[in-house]
Amino acid sequence: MYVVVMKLSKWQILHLKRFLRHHYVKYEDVQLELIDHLASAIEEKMEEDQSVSFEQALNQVYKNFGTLGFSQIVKEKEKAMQKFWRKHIWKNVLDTLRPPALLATILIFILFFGSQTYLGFTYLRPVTISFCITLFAIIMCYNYYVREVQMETYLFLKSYHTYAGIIFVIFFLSLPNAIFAIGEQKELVATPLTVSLTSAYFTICIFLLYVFYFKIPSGLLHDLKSQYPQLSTNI
Amino acid sequence: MNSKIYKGSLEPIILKLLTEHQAMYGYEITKAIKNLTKNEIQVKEGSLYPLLHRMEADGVIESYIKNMGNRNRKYYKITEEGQHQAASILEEMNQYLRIMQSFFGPTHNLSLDQ
Repeated sequence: MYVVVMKLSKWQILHLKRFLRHHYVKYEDVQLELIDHLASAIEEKMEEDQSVSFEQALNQVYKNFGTLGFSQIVKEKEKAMQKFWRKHIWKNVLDTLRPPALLATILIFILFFGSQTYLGFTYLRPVTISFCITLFAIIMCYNYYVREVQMETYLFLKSYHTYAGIIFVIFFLSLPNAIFAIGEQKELVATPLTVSLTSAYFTICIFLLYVFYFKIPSGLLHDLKSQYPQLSTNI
Repeated sequence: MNSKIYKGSLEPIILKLLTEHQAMYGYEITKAIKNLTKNEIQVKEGSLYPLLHRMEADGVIESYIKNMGNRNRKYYKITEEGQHQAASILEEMNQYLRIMQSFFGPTHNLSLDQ
């Protein structure tokens, strides 16, 4: 434990925050650690040599970060966050593939399969269901993104939203578009394969909506608040 | 780090430090390494933080925030998974040092006639 008596003022800490923003460190969760590092090093320098001003100490400390400055740290932090979310998302998907969510998923598949088989399968049916799921997904995502206004402030949130955005574009925009395009060109023939494929696709859509826009986000803010207690006053 | 030889040793050093201490913050780690090696190893901030973030993403270490009055501080501590990894890395490191001793140690003998 390194005990330094000298303490920077609130104004000086704010100056460090502005200094980091000026050097393209815009995320609060990355700033937090760098502010403490800069402040600790500056306090020590100013205590060792009382003739050194705050600005001089800051310049000396910043030089230690090398020619790349903070950019390498931010870049590597982004990579680490992506890695974290890949693991965390995969864990959540696997966790959801257990009862009772697994049973619900199977029931949803049976529901889609049954409705298309017994109520009649025309190309209009998958197109209508795709349209409804897309509309539902847009409403859910809109609500979610409006609530998560701080996503640009925290790298932790932004990294997750990147993955959630990719899923949204692939499953709720691109694939329904493909179904609409096929439906416009030719009549889809009801075979066990087409009915199974469309039912599986709709089931996967519902499953992903649940995991990406309900299950993970419900714990997301809790995780962030427990890591960054000051956030609770901002929401 | 001030030499290529030390590259790759930073992770075992951090694991060892975090095994010995309850929790440490970034600046404290750089100071500890500098003091313990009598300024022989100076950790660059550009190497330390990316490594800490990667280790955190891998689940080897975890962090928590503590309010220090004028600012917040991020502390790192070793996880259970990290403790297992630390034990195996430290064993590997000891083995590496033993092997290197046979080449560079005070009683080394590089004669091929044995």
